[in-house]
Amino acid sequence: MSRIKINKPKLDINPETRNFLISFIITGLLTFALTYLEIWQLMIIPGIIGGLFNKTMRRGIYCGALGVSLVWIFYLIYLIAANNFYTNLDQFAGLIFGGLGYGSIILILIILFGILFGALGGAIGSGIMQIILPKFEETSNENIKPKKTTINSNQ
Amino acid sequence: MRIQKKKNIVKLATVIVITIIVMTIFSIPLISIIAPLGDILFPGSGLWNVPGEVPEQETVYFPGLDNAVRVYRDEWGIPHIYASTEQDLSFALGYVHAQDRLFQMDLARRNVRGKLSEVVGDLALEEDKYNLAMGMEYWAEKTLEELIIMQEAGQNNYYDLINSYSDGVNYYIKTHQGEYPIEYAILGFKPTKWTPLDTLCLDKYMAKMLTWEYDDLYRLKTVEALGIANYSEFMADATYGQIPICPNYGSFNDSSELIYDGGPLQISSNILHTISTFLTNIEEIPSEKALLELQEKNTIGSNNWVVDGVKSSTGKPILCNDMHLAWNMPGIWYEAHLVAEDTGLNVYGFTLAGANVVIVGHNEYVAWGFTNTGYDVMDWYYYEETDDNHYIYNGVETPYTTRTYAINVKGQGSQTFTVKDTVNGPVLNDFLNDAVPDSLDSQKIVLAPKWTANNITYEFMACYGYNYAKNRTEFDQASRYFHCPAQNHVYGDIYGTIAMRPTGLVPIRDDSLTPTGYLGNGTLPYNGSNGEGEWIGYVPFEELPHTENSSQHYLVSANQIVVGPEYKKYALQNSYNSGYRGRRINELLNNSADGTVGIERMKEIQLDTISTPARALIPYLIEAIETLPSSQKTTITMDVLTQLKNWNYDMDKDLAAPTIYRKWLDFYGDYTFDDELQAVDAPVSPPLNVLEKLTRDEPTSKWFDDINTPEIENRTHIIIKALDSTISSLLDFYGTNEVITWRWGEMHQLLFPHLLPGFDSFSKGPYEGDGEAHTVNPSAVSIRDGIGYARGGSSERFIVDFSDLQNCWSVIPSGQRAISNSKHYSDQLEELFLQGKYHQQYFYDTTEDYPENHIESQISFVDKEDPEFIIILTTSLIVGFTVGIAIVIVGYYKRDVIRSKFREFKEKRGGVKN
Repeated sequence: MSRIKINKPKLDINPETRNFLISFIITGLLTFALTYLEIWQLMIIPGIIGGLFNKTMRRGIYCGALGVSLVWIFYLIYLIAANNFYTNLDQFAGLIFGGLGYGSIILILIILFGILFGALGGAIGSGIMQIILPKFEETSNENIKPKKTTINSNQ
Repeated sequence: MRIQKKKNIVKLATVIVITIIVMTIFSIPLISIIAPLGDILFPGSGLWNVPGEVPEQETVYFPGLDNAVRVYRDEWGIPHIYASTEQDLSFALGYVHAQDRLFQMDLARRNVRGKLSEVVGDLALEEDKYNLAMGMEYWAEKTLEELIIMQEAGQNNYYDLINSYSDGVNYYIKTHQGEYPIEYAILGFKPTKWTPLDTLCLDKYMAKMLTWEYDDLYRLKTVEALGIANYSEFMADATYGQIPICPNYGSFNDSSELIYDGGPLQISSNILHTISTFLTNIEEIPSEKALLELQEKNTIGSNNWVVDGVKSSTGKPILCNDMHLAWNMPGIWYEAHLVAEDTGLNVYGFTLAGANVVIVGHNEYVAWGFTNTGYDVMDWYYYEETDDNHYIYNGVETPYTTRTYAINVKGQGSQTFTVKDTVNGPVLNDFLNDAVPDSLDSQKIVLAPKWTANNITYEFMACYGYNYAKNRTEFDQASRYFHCPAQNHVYGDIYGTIAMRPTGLVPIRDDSLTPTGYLGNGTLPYNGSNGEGEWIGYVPFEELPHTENSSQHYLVSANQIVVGPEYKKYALQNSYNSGYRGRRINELLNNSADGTVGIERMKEIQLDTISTPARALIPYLIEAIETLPSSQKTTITMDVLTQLKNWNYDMDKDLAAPTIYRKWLDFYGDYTFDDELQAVDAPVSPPLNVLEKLTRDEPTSKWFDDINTPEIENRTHIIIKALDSTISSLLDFYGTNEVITWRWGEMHQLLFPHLLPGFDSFSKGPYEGDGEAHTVNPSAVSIRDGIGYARGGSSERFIVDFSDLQNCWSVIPSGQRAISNSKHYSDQLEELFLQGKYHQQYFYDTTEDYPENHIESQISFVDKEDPEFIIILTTSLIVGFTVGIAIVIVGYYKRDVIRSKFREFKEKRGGVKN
């Protein structure tokens, strides 16, 4: 039997996009894990970690904002479906706006806060990377150069 | 390159600064008492973690149980708890109470124990101080000490039971950390441990709700303003139409008898000023203001009645009860069915979340319900204060005793607060703003109440006795322990016995030092500095009025006068509810179609909204309109007449006649009495039955004359004047002269507010409603300023049929769960209460008998350590042990490498030294 050869299409992803996707997944996973802790301040961390994988601040912001907010959105959908969570949002909104029917505003606000926190974390992470990376590259270059010199001198 | 680097640093710094600012904004409370937004809105805490419905199947592991416990919740979320022992039963009830009503329980205990400001800040500081000063917590502590002594002496095990109950509450709190009701998330605090003292504080909480009052003080102002003669006239007429609760002490005829007589009061302006200022100041305290409003509108009261086998269509007694209290979300009562095998307990009824007994309900043998007696169980005393530490008592300078409290105020730390106690009770006006003005430069006066609840009292223990009672004797024996709030206990049993016992502690006063002409029996505040009105004992239980197996075959209490004129030995009451609900229930039971009543008829009676005062007064209004000269018979007046003539006195929300009647009644009462009362600034109006009597018997009474006009007015003048005002006011309100569109429901609405003021989005209503203050199904409103919102009425309804205990019915005006996103938050309110419906009480003896189709969810309490905990512990131990062993093995095989590394390290250190 002759084997049929299938030409698999090659997924041609440039490294930056690949980094972005990886960082997005890491941000999402970390966000998910941190929702189990009762310390909301930690919500800045997933964005920071995700941001570290991105060389530009813009990508860091996108990665953090998307990674955090999407997980929050899925979580919100689950809570609304399973725990009648929208009622809580509506009642809480009523305390602020003085009447029922404003739950959607709180819902949108929560998502915006997710975007904001993710974006800020992502910006910090990528900002750190922008400062550290050139130094790291310089150090790497310096480390490589003397090695070559040593070989040459031995010769 | 360097410029780029700098740019990057600046960008990062900017983002970090923005992040810090944002996090700070989310970390500080921005809106009043609401927690920081970060704590509320971010996942992991706040709104995200609040509980929803209970799991369909839940297993609770608690090694302290005697045996397994099974809880079935029915379709209304009502728990049916089947336990082997009553200790386990108490534990399980504590757990389900916490699961459904934790915040309500927490708020109630904080209220009594002066701990509200701990969670809401100084907004509640005055309230905390006032509640602590009242002495509720102090006397709950004393009661607890006594219960411990009783337990140690082997007299009873009630202390053990409330301990088990507390364990159940605390186990829920411990195992649901971070999953507390939404109110905790919004206010930003967590529940603390529940203690037996908290349970006993709830008893005092109820005592306050039902008996705490300022009537003596208001009455003094009224008597002082009107004069004793006028006041006595009102009081003499206050028995008009009353049908006493206990029918075996005579009945009142229509002629009134002057009860009091005497000369003018000798009250100094300083005392009156102190009282006036105090009464103004207490309205600054939210809980007192709310209580006064409820009392003013006659919201607090209740109905209960029982018919015997002769009157009942079933041949066995039927017992009904609906207690009228403030409406809240959640409602005050929590339905539960409790079964304990070891003691043979099988009781169904209404519990208070926080206490381990059924307060009203039935077991397999007896049923019971409560209404407020209206006994005078509280007296106010005024004393001259000589300095900060002394006052004059009975002519002698006497030192105060003191109690000191530390109140934790959120955001402000601890505040120390000292209460001064007189011989008769705590000084309550000295920490409020009561500065005596210079013009009244005299001795400082302090006000102190003596209250029967400020005693060691055992109401929950009495209820515990009721839960187990098998007959009248056992029930009556238990009711000896019921002290405050004094309640009319309606009773029925499977043997056919019916009874009514208005019981509680009723003080006997020594009025020998009370000046002649001054109203005694605790009617007015006493001069404590002269030693007036000392309590010299309590009316003996045996001598309190009571009725068994009445010849009329039924017994009714609806807060009307307790006894007729033949009960003379002790003074029990000095003011009464006007008695309309009692009259109507008596009428309905008397005039039943075939002489008997069944369950459906009982439901109709509980839901009855026929207004007895309207039926008494409206004929006079109709007569007055009909006899008007034709020039005054305008179209609108005749339309009003048509509505009234076609009316059956049902306060139906869809009719216009109730609106006309209620508005007219306000004006009629005002125009009859206000000219005299306002002229002398008297704060209390006579009861409605006094107006009814004047209308019927004294059309030319002096009270009908308007003292501000030269003419002499009579009843008809006032009736028509009130009608003119009514029409004008309703035209304004409804904006149309189509009288038929003046629907009562637009003006009379029912509101079920959340426990916390301002949490309106958690409230239910307003709903248009039938009824009024004096209908059997009550909902009192003030419509003077437009729409009136009834905030109280029936807090539960139940009907017990002794011919078939599966045919018992009940309803509460909320739901079982105080979890605002649960379907059981308001299901009974919306699907039953507002529709005039009831649910069946499932009363099955065992889990085997309990039908599966009535199980919505269940909890199994297991007498074992939580296997999840055991798995985690075992796994941790195994992992820890394996890692340890691995380290040892690796260390052993790599010992040479480790040694050499260690040597290297030592050499390096040694090298540096050298």
